[in-house]
Amino acid sequence: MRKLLVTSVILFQLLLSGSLFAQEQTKSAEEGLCPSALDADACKAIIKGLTQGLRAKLNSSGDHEQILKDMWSDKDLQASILNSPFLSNRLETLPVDVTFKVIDVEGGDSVLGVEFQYAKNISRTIYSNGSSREKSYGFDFSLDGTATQDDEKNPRNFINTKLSFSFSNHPTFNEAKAVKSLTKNVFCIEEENIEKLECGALLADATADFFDQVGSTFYFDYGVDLTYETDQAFDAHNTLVSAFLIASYEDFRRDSFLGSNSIVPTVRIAVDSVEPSNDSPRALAGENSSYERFSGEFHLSVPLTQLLDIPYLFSFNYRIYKEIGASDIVEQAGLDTYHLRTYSLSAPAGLVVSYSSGRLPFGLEEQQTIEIGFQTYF
Amino acid sequence: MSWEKSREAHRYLWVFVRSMHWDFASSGGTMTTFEEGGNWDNDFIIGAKGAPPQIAKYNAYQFSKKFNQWLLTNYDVEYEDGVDPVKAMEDLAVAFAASGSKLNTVGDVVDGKYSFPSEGS
Repeated sequence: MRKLLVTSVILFQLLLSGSLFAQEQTKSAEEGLCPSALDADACKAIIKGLTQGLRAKLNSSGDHEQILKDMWSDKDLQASILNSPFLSNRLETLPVDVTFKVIDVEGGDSVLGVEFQYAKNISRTIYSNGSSREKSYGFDFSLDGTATQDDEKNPRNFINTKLSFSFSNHPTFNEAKAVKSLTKNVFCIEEENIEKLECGALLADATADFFDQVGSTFYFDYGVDLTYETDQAFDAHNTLVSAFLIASYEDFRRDSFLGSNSIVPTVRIAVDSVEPSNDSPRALAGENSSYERFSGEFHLSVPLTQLLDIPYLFSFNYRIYKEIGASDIVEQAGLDTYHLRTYSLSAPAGLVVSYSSGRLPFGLEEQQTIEIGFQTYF
Repeated sequence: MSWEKSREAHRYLWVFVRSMHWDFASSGGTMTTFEEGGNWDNDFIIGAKGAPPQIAKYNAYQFSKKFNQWLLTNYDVEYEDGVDPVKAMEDLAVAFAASGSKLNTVGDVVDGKYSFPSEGS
C-alpha cells in the first residue's frame, strides 16, 4: 500500500507541481492541455484553480491513500492522464524511454505499469570493410523491463540489464549504384513537391530499384552477453553469461515472395550459463545449482497490404528459455521451460491489438495478455 | 524534438521511410502527408513491433545502414564535419529503436549527422 501511495504521489507531483519544471516547458504543457478556444491566461487560471482544488481536497482528508486508490481505479482518469500532452512533455526529458500502461489483471485490480528501456552503444570498430560486407565489433549496454505500482501484481515481472560484446557482419550495400530516377528527380524532395502523389510514387519505385541491385542478403551478429535478470523487487535474480547469434535474411528482389511482401525474418539463439539467486522460483522449489539454458527467439513482420490488401502490419514474436539437462525437481515444478508468443496487428501510427500467451523466467504461471493501445488486459 | 517540412534533413528522412513503406503510405489512394508521417511509430518502420529491445536495436541498425547508403549514393549529401560514420549509424539505430518513439524524434538526429545540399559542404 505504501508503494501505491508513493507512486501515486510522485506522479501527481509530476503532473501538478509547476515548480519542478522549467517555465518554458510548463507553458507548453498548459497549451497542450487547453482547448484552442481558450487564451493562455484563461487556461492558466483554470489549471491553477483545478490544481488548488485538488490539493485542498487531498489536504482536507486524512485518507489520502483511499482517494489516490480511487483515482487509479478510475479508467477515464487514467486514460486522460496517459494521453495528456503534459505527461508526454515530462517523459521526453527523461534519459530512459518510458511508456505508461494501464494493466488489467483478470480477477484483480487495475494497476499502472511503466515500461522502461535504455540502450547505449559504448563503442564500435570496423575491422574489415570489403566491397559488399562490413565486419565490426563493439560493446553495447541495455536495460529494459516493466514496473508496476505493486510489484506483486506485476504480470511482466522481468527486468533485464545486459552488457554485450558482439561481432557484426552486415552488407554495405556498396554494390547498389545511384539510380537516375532518384538523382534526376531530387526536386521531388523540395518542400513544395514533397506532398505530390506522383513524386511519391516515382521515388518509391526508384528506391525499390536501388535496393533491387543488392538481391538478397544476410545480417549476422554474434558474441557474448553478460546479463543480470531480476524481478521488480530484486528478490529473484539470475546472473548469466551467454554466447549468442542473431541472424536475419532480407530479399530485395521484387519478383520473390519475401521481397515483394517486405518480409524479413529474424532469429536469435543463445546458450546461457545461469547463476540463480537463493530466491528464484527454481531455488524455492529445492534446486539452487547453476545451470545451462538454451534461449531462442524468432521475429517476423508481415505487411498485409500486398497479401490481403489491408493497411496493417502483422508481427509474430516467439521467445523460449529451456534449461538443459533439468533435474526432476525442476521439471516437476514446471520451471524448466518458459515461452512467450506474441501476435500483434498494427498500423503505421499505433498498435491496433496485440495478444500474448506464455510466461517469462520468474513467471510462475502462463498468462494471456491482450493489449489495445495503452491499455493492457491480463 | 521537431518535425518540420522546411528542414531538408527531415524531408529526406521522410521520403526514405515513405518509399520503404510505400504500400502503407499510399494506402486508400491518398498519400500519407509529411505531418502524419512524423507520427509513424519507429518500431513499425524498422519492423520490430512486439520485438524485445535487442531485436529492435538489431533491426534499427539495418534500417539505418540502408538509409545511409541510399542518402550518400543518390544525393549530394555528406557527413557533417567531425562526424564519425560508425558512431552516426549507432546513434541513428538507437533513435530508431527507442521504445514507443515516433519518426519525428529521428529528424534532428539525421540533421546532426549529415550535411544536405542547401547547407553546402
